[in-house]
Amino acid sequence: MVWTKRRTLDFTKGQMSSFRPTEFRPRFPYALEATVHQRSTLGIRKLPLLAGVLALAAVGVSGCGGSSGSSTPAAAKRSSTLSVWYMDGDLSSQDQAAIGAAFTAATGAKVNVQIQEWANINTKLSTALAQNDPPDVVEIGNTDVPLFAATGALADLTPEKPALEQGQSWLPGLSGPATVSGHLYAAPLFAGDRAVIYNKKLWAKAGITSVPTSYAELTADLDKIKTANPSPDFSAFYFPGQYWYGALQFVWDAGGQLATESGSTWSGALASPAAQQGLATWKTFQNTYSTAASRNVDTKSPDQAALFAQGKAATILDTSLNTVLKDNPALKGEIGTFPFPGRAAGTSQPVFLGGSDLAIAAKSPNQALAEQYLKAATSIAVQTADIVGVDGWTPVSTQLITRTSSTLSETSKAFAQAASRSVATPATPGWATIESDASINQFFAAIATGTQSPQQAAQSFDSHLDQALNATP
Amino acid sequence: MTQTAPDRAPAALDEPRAAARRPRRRRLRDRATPYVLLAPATVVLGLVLGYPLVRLLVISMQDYGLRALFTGVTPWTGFSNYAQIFTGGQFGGVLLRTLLFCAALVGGTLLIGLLVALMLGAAGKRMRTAVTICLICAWAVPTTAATLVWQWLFEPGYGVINWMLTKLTVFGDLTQHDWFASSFSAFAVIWLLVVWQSVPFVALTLRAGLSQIPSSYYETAAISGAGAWTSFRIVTLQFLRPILLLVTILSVVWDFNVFNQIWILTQGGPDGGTTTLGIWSFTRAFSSESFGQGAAIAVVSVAMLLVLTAYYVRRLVRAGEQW
Repeated sequence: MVWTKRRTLDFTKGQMSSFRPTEFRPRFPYALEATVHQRSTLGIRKLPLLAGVLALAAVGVSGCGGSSGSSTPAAAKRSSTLSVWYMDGDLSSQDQAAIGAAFTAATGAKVNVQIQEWANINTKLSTALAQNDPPDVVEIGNTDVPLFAATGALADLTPEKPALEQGQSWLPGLSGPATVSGHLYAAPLFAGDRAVIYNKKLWAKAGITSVPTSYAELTADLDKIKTANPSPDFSAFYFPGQYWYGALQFVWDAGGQLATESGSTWSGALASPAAQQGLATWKTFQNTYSTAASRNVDTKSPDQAALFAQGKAATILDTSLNTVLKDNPALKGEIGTFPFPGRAAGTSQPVFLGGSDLAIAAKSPNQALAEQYLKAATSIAVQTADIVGVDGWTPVSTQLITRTSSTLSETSKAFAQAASRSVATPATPGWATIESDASINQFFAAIATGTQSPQQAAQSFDSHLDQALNATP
Repeated sequence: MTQTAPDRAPAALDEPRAAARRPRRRRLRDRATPYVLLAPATVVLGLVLGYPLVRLLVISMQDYGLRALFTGVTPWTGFSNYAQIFTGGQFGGVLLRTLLFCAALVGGTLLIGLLVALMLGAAGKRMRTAVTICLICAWAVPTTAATLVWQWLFEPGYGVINWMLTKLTVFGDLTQHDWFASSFSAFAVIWLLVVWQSVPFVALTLRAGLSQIPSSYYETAAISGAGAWTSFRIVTLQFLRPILLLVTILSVVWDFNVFNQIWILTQGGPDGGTTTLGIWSFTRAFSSESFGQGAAIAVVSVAMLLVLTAYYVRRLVRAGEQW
């Protein structure tokens, strides 16, 4: 959800150096900045219940405020300035300016851009979209879109779809979550994904001369690296147990699914034989090539990019080289990338596609202008020249990926290649629950630590999925 | 109210005579005075505690989610939120876990706090000052900061605790051990953290109580042939009873609601193994965006705390009167 793409998409070319990919960024998470925020919300020492009461009351009050003021006709406030919310660290200001320029050229209207912080963004979006004077266009993390689309917060874009698509085939990882019951509620903005990042020196030292192209080759290479580095705190492939974005690739590669939809009912599918096979493969892989200390942790504490930068890990699966190079600039030129090889020869594992969509607030009085803005952002020119050309994100369609692949740097190619086989999380508002309550982290950690067998863990997690994914928001 | 209660019986008996002696208006004013004096506090409490509690009750009876937030429509669902909590199959386990953990925390805090307080009394002046300063420092660390330090101390692979235990060479190589992988050891780590933070308040409060016990009582006990244990039992504990009751109630309320420490360290994991009522309420309300159910759990928690503490509050009030 929200924080996914913050780390998912961080494979840019430098201008986002301030932004670190963190594995786990729930609303009140491990990360320092967010916990500080938590103090301010729930800071009454040892009386969180009281604080919770107040917080709930605040939610209630804001909800009431929204409804009581609804007598003013929203359309009366029509203006020729469009307000747009972007997320901190996603699009560079150059990109935002380029989209704005294209929009102004087409409509003559102005744009007022506001940058939002990731911490607590869902609550912030909920509050803003519930008001009668909401931001017109908002950037929303792709897995969060269903939460807002299904609750009536976003405008239905289905009639504009052909004009927005412009003949492209959007990446299902971006458009899937934006489609609820056949209706489109947001347009893709950009994407990002994961590829294998390896330390060329450590690999060469173990006697490996070429990049593995199959899963068997990969494990054979990792075996060599493991033999060459027997220290217990060294990882041939550092893979934290709670790293569910990575672990899911094994499930998908084995033909498994997180959940399946029949009619309008979702059911957890991790107990299925295919998913079980993927989970078993992942468990063996994790337990064999990553340290024992990594079985119950996320990518943030300890920071996997830092471990890689220190040479404690020969290989990681990540979204970007940026943090590694920031931690240890000496590694520049010493790092290689390749898509994680799949089971079948010549394939790569399907990746979790993170990214953001642009949506229009249902209560915005400037619907027509906002649609023009979305057209500008999804246009082939902006996607090619700015989203890829300036920022180095993955563009929104398969055609654009092919078209821009020749201009990419050597290390960026693997990410683009991997993105061509992507899977989305279930397009249902309940998915946000799975990420926020960290149950998916705990599911994979339980398997990695062996406290539960993949079968046991999957059965209880499937029932949680059944309940959460079908909940009406 | 509690103060007037014992006075009321004689006053009622005296009623006819008092009425004859005093003018009616003055009697009325005497009666109204306490209420007038209490009014400002009542209004403030009503606003900052009463209103949120009422809102909480109302939300707990509504289908209050994001849709309600965006549309302003909040369907009244009566007790269905409560029914879902009690029939969801999670409630029993969460409640038991919360109560056991709370009992362990309160017991540990009081015992260690009392020992520290006694030790402070026995220690020399310099030592006493040093320990007091340490206690206040531990007390002054914000919960979140302390929890983050704890997270680092117990981190698998890099934590100082694992490194130290390994250096002892008694337990073998523990550097890769993960304390948060099982719910028991996760609770143990959180217990240490919470007790470490709660002991200073308990110890200093009890120390204040101890210093008020006249030494002549101990002398009398000694002359009568009481040993250390007996004199502790009949003098120290008797004198400390009201203060012990007070810190027990406060500890129960605080420890029942421990949230930050658990949420930051385990988020209720592994596999729900450290999910207490507070965590559960929070995840229902803010992870599942079901504010109604979260509110219902909070209401149930408040009700249970009231029951848990009612007995002690009564005892405390009575003990205060006796003293």
